[in-house]
Amino acid sequence: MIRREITTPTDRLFSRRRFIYYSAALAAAVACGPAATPATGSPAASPSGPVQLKGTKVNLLHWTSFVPDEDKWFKETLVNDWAKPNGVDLTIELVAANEAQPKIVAALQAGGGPDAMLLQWTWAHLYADKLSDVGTVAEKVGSDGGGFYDAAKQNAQVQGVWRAVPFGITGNAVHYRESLLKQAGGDKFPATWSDLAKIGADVKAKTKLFYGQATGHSFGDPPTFLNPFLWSYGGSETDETGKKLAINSAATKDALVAFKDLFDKASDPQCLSWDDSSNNRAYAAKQIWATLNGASIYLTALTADPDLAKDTQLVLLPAGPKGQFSLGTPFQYAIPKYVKDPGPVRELVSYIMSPKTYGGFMKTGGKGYTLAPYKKGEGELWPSSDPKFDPFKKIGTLTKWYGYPAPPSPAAAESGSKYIVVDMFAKVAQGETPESAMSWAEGELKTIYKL
Amino acid sequence: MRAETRERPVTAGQLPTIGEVLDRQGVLAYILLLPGLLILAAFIGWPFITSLWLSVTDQSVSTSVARFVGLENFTGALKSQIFLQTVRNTFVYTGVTVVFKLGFGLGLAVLMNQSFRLKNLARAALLLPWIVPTALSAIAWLWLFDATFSVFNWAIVRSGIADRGINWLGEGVWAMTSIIIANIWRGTPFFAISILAGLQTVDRELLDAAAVDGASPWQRFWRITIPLIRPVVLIVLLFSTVQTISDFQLVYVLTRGGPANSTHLLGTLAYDVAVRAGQLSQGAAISLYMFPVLIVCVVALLVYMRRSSV
Repeated sequence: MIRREITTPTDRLFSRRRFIYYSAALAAAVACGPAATPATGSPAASPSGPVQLKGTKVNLLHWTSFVPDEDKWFKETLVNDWAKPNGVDLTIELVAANEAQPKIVAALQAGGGPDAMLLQWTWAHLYADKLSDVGTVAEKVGSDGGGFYDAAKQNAQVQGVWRAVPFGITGNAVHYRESLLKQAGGDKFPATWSDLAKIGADVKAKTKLFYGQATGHSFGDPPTFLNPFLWSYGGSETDETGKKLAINSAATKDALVAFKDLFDKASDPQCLSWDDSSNNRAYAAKQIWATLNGASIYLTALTADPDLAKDTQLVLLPAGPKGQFSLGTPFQYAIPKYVKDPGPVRELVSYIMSPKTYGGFMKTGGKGYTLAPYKKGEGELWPSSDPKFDPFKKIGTLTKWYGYPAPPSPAAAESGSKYIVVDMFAKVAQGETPESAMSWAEGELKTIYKL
Repeated sequence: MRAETRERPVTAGQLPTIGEVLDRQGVLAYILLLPGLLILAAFIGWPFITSLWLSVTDQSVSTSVARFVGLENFTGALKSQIFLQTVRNTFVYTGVTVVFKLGFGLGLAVLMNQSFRLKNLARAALLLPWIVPTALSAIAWLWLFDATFSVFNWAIVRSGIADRGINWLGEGVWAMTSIIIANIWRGTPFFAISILAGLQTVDRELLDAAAVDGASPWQRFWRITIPLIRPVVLIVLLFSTVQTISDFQLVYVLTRGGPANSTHLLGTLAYDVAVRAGQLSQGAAISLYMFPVLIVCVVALLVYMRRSSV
């Protein structure tokens, strides 16, 4: 056998053999790099003693609020008032509401990511097995805050175990232009859906502006409008036990018929494509006269268009034959089980949720956009002297949850994530019969609830 | 530069050095292929195997230990009207867009193959829709189709064509039309540039000879140009079908599958079910329904390429 040896100096330097050597060495260095660097994990907290905060790192995943001042409070006030004095390296990661869930799912599946995450809706029920028990923090927060609202508790507590600490509720109210209502002969906003259909038609005829409500695939406005609409007529996905489907019912049909009437007379087909920001833009551009939304529309108008703000009034949703309902968007703090040292995170959540801190957040942040999940929020902590915000005081008591009247469940959360109720109404708005839409919804719910 | 080689005999039983092993062409070839194979295995192979496994289990975000359930997720999907509607949407979306992209792409390629001033600038501009990140161009389309602020609607109303604009993203058929338009706009340059490259390989002498023989421009195009560029067209067609059937970004930005699921594609529905609803195994099963179609495309492509290379 003959072997060749390359002897030219340049060839020696750039031979394919040496190329492989260098590549392998580089790859090994890259691969070993992270392992060779000491991990910068948090020091372990003593189970019996006080939590060691100095030198720890906490990464908090939060949603980007529609009210910028709320984000600013987290980025600046929280960092300056809590993280810096305690020597904690606090990172606030803000993500858009519709993008939060992919990040959370990825982190929980990968077993690594943020130390605390802000959940929405009934997600705690979806991810319960992967979330730490935060009962000690939740009980104290609830007790200090005068007791959690029922919905806040239902969303965060899974089979008696606190899988999250309620953070707040984004309340919603119908924002409407008082001057336009008066132009159409109305003196106050209608108290029932049927009256809204009538007066809405009058306003539309008189001003060419419609009642604009998102009914597309988006996390907030579509479900917060359509679920209460369904409940106010006595309709629901299941009965109180959650073990029997109830969507295909006379009550649901009544709701769908009433919605179709409202939609045709007072609204506009373009709403079928709207997401959570569409109605904000349309209201600010004076393209609609009324819409259900969080207080962000009014808060923005206060600075951007004072005349519009002056003309804007806020009321809770109208009632149906079975009463008045609301569905605020609930948020909760959860600590994933993969967090090895949850002590500093618990301290952080306890700090944010203490009435003193939360009161400050409500005042300097959204001024009522995010409502406290406990009763002191509507009392001594109430942040605004503007009477237009007063309807929001009732949201905590009035709000229900996905799957109502049954307790929240993974199936109810899944149904919400798949927009079953929203699409049932959207189908009717598009011209499908109520019977067909109900039957479709029932078929999907059968698979989801496995009933 | 002079390369010197020194030959030295190898004693029987002596282990070859690493350098000597690397000098063997067969070994070196595999070593050089290894990084690419590892990347493919890590970022395509492993996720694919994982999704295969997920699809036959009951894994959700909250389950720590998954249970084998056989084909339950696949049969379960067939019971869902949303899924069946999504399959229809996917085929309509793919079929219509690929046909239009081929037509427009071929036309543009023929146009760009002519000599005219600023030809190079025009060719570069042609690529823009394809170069711009899809998420960004989709946001631009979102505004163009916006129910309240659509410039199309503004033009329609201002020009007197109609009293009111089109409900682009809010009505089932129009929503599907909108995402198809955006996809055609984005995908046509890929066809045009690829076919243009094929056109430039067509021998002018063949066309000139045909012209001398009395063939009309139309005959020259159909009888000479098209057969010669057919391999390029077929490959582009197959690539585009694969890309379109698994599309996600456009729909996610423009409609998120709405209104009432009328624009859901398999990719977006799988995402909604797996990520938003937390049912990872069901989402995996839905995404795997794309697999048979894609595998037919890939096999057809491979067979064609092998035949062409023989």
